[in-house]
Amino acid sequence: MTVGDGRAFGRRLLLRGLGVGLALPLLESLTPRGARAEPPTPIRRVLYYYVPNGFNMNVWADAVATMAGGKLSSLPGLPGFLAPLAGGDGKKDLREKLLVVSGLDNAPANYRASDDDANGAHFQQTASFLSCRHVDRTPFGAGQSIDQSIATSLGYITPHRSLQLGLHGSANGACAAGWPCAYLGFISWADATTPLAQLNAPGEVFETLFSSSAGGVSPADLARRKARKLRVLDVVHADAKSLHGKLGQADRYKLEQYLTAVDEAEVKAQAMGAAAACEVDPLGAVPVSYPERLDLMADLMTLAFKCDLTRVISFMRHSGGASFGKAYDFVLHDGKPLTEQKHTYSHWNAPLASEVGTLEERKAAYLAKLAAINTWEIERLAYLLRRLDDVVEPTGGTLLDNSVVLFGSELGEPDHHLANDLPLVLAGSCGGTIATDRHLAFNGGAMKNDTFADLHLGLAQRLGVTFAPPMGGGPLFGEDGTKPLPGLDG
Amino acid sequence: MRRRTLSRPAFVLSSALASLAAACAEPPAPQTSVDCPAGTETELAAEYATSVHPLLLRPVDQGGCVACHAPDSSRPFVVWPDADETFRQSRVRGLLDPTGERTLLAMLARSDGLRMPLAGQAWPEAERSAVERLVCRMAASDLPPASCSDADPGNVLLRRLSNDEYDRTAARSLGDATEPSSGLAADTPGHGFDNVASAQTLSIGHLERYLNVGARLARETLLVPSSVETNLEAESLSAYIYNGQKPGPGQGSVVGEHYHFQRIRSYLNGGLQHAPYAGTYTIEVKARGTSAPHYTCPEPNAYDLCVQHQAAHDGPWLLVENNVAPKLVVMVDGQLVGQGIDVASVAEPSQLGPFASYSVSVPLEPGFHSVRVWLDNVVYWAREERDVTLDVDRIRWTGPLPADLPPVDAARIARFLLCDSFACRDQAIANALAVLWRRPATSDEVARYAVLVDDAAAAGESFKDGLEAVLEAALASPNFLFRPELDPEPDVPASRPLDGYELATRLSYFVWGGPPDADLLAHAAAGDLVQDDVLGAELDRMLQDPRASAIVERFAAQWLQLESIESSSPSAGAFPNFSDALKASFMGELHAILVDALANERTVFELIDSPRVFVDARLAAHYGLDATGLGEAFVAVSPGASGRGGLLASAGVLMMTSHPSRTSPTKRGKWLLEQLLCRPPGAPPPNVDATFEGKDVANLSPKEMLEQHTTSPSCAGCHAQMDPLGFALEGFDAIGQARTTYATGEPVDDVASLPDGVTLNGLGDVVAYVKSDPGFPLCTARKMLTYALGTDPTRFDPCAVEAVTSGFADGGYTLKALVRAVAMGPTFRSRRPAKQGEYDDLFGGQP
Repeated sequence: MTVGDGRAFGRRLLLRGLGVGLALPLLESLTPRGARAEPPTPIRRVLYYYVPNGFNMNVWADAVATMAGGKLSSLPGLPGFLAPLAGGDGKKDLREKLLVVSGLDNAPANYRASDDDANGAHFQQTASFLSCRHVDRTPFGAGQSIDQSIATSLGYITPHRSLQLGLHGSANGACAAGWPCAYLGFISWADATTPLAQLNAPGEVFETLFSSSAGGVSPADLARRKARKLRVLDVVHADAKSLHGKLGQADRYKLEQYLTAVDEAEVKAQAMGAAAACEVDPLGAVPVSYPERLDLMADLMTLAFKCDLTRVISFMRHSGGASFGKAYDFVLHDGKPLTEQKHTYSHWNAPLASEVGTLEERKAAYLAKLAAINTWEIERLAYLLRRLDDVVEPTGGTLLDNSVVLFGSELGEPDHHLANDLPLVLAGSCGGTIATDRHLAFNGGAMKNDTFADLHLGLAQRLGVTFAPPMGGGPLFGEDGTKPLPGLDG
Repeated sequence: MRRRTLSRPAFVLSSALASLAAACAEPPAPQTSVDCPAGTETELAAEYATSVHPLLLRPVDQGGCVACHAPDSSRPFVVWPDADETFRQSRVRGLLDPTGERTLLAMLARSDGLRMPLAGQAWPEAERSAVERLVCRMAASDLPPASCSDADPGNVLLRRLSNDEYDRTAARSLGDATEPSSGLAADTPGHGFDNVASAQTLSIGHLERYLNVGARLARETLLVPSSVETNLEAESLSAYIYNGQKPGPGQGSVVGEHYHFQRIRSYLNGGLQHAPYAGTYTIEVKARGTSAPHYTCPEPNAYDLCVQHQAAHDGPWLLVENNVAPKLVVMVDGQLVGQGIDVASVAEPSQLGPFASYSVSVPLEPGFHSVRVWLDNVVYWAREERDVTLDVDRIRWTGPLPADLPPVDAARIARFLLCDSFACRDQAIANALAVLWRRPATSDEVARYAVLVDDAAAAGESFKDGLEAVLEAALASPNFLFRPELDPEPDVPASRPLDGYELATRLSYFVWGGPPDADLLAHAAAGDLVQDDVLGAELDRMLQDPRASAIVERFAAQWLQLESIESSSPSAGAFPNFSDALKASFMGELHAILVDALANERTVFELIDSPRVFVDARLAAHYGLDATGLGEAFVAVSPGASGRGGLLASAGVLMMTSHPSRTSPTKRGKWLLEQLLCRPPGAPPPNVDATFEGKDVANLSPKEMLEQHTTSPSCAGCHAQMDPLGFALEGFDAIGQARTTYATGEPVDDVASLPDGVTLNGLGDVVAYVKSDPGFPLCTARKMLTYALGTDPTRFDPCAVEAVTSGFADGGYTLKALVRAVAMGPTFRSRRPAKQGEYDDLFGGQP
């Protein structure tokens, strides 16, 4: 007997959950037209650049020692996997615009003996990266993430209050032992139980940013669309309100998420037309290879800042844990493509028996490959930073100068799933409010007074966002953010 | 009426206690060394409540239990604080549901050989004696089966359409087969399925995309294809010079109502223009210009500034060959269209006359396309101050040609545009809402949507424009995106039967993955769908319908995690013969197995042990079967001695449970336990010490290496179950090829022992192990209930699973029997509002 060819089935499966790229043009140049009134002072922006699953901490320890004092730019280069930031090959040296930070912990991210489930590795650290709260399997929820605290505080001064971008597929199948997929999949949380969906396809990002400006829409047409959208939102809001009154408690909560989204959509609809002032060149097919798409996302983030479409971006290179389902074959080690995913190498302490050599040799090989991935990650970061630094702003300085990029991972040492001694790179001085070209070291150990959450508070402060102490005392942000991190301004 | 399919007597509870089982397994006379008199259910419940339950409220991580119970760590062993409820649930689960919570009582009920406590682990004496005494008493008492008579239908949370359901809904309700969910936010599946409400959240990112996709669907549903025409007035467009900069002084500017090109290669940016359909589009430019006098420039260095000239495409800089007219070049998406146009020109600006039109045409795909108009040639030299100039007045974008337009889908339009007049406003709205919302709209709702039509009218738009806004809103409404089931008293947790519309919608999304059809809605309206006979007949009809393929494409594919096949990426180094075509064949086989199982009423056991194997020519070769006469189609052939044909021996499953370059016995065992037996092992604890310090493990075989798991108490509990099942499948490599040696040349070792001493010798024994495990059909039922209700399986009343499993057995264990058992059962056909605090764990107590 014959049963079809079975292939339609694969297609539908493939479509499910994957961000399917739109066949939109590739960016060939970034050419905005500055039709909007120029603000008198530099616009400050923040970009959280997340990479999954940690670093080779041996290399990092060496690098920290090498950068012990003095200016980064007076070193012969940059140590370890930071090297690509020092330029070479005709690429710009970024050292004068960097602040390397070492020795901070995100302690709330770590497993605790009191947790109700011990399988939360990666879930707990990833969900805590920007929220600095300890999460449990149940009840579901992280805390509001720092980017959302900033975005909420800034309000709708730009068409997008914030952007959540990423470059990974669905986290389905990676969610073990009843831990919510959302912990692995998202770093931005609007509130404790509302993770924010990312845009994962470059074409989709382009369309989101420029759909109202790039389509040759006339002002009259745009006004018509805006009026229509506002009317539609009115009607669905009324639908939801009517439904809300007839639902039980638990369902009402789900519908409240919908109502909140409608309110936000309404504010955004009111801002329609703002992006029309920023004209971009359009352009070719979205590339297939992961590194190329990563660079295209960097182009798009640059564009979003340049056109002032948002001032807050969180970018998640991949969902937590970096179980890619695919080898990191775009990273070379000893001239050969890697054959496993980052997660495999991150557990360097338990190398596979199928590798060659003694246990010690195999561990060393894994560490070297992990460092090669870290180096590649820093190369891609450097690409973004150079793009930002290429854009000279009317108010003086470059986009990079006026922004701050925080690069880091949910883990320091990945093998033990620890969010301690996080390797962190800040780039850009956020309009001269951060002293760069140096290494800022915090001391480890039990007496730590300064935390990763403090760093979040320090950056928020530079965006003009301050936190009031809660009634009855307690941290300003997350579980252990008690003050803006000292020392950022030199 | 309720039948028990798993007729284990109560004393199975003691099987985990080997020493005690001997003493208690021979009722009614237990040995006198243990004092365990028989008792009534009430007495035993009382003993549990007073002597056992309080002890089990301690955290797991005291007393050396954490090694095995690590997933529960500091949580108490029991999940229900109430002793009576715990006793009832433990009775039911312990007997009927080996997949229950990993509590101490569930451990006692385990039949998979994992003894408690593990060697070397202590069990506090008081606890041991209290538990043993209770278990012994229960065995001695020969209690009747735990009562399932009051099975709780449970609460079903408000479900949102998954992306796949959205596509199927758009296809059925709107006639849109483009799978529009590619524009939506990705699903966040929970418990393995895309439709589990507790895992669904909604943010502005979701809603924005619902709005955008809905607007497109609304527009296209009513669309009469037509050509577009856009006029771009040149003076309103921006210009750039060749290097992307703005033109400087003397390099071009707006003069009056046209743009004046001058002196330098530059272009007017026509932005992105929309091509709604594939076809030929025309760009027409109204232009005029001045030419430059003839001049040749043989020696560029002899002049202050000689000639600049470049073909607009990628040519080299050229010396001028002039006496040229201005050459106008149109580029679309960065590509030159045609060869450039010589614009009729005059020698002196004072002679300039009216503009003339110049056109180029280009075939394009649908989408947005960039349009630019260049002045290609520039002649300028300082001595004579004479330029080629070009004035552009307007650019017009039109297309496609009428012949390229798709035909009008009149039936699709007529489904919503009942008439093209404001007179049928309310009728058209009521119709649209009923189609999209799967129930009749109320008069209030019709009035609410009428405002959209009236506003369109007030803005001078047509009735059709207004109706488009209605569709747009209806598609973004919670009444469409969610599947509300409204209780008369939503805060009183009393069960009630579903009404006809609720049942029609549940049924259709369960069986078809899409909306109810006219038949179902007619029965809902008539009120007879809730009757057993009508429901049964409708269900039979639905199962015969091609849409029932959703059971394979949605349920089975997610149950078995087959999307992992798509994302598998075997190492090209290790498997040079692997290809995407082969991967497609792997998927094709699984599709064929499942389609055959559904259509031909195979039992669930035949899914893993089948007398036929579905192969195309490529897969037959991969399996070492005779490929003679085979092509692209999948054909059932005899597996011969290959052992192929079932899920466990399929290359797709074997590949997706492997690493890119090697097999993973652990992953294979885990998949089997989790998907087929619903006994998911926990993930490794954090800070796991996998270093095997002090041991020289470099020369160990893969198996010896993994056996290190079982020497560590923190790993042993789970790996002792997972790894042997995977080791017995070592006769297949990471892309599912049969093998007898590893890459190293060592012979494959596919014999392994389970903790209870059962030896598995290769594939056949694994198949037999799964087939004989009562957890297999039970697990299948549990997975289908999860899918059907979109509910977290740990929230089911175990009795509901038992009832469905019973129907599954009665129907001969076929997939259709399972669908019927679910759909005809009370859990599916009724609902109850949530209890106070029922979802506190989910929402953090927020509501």
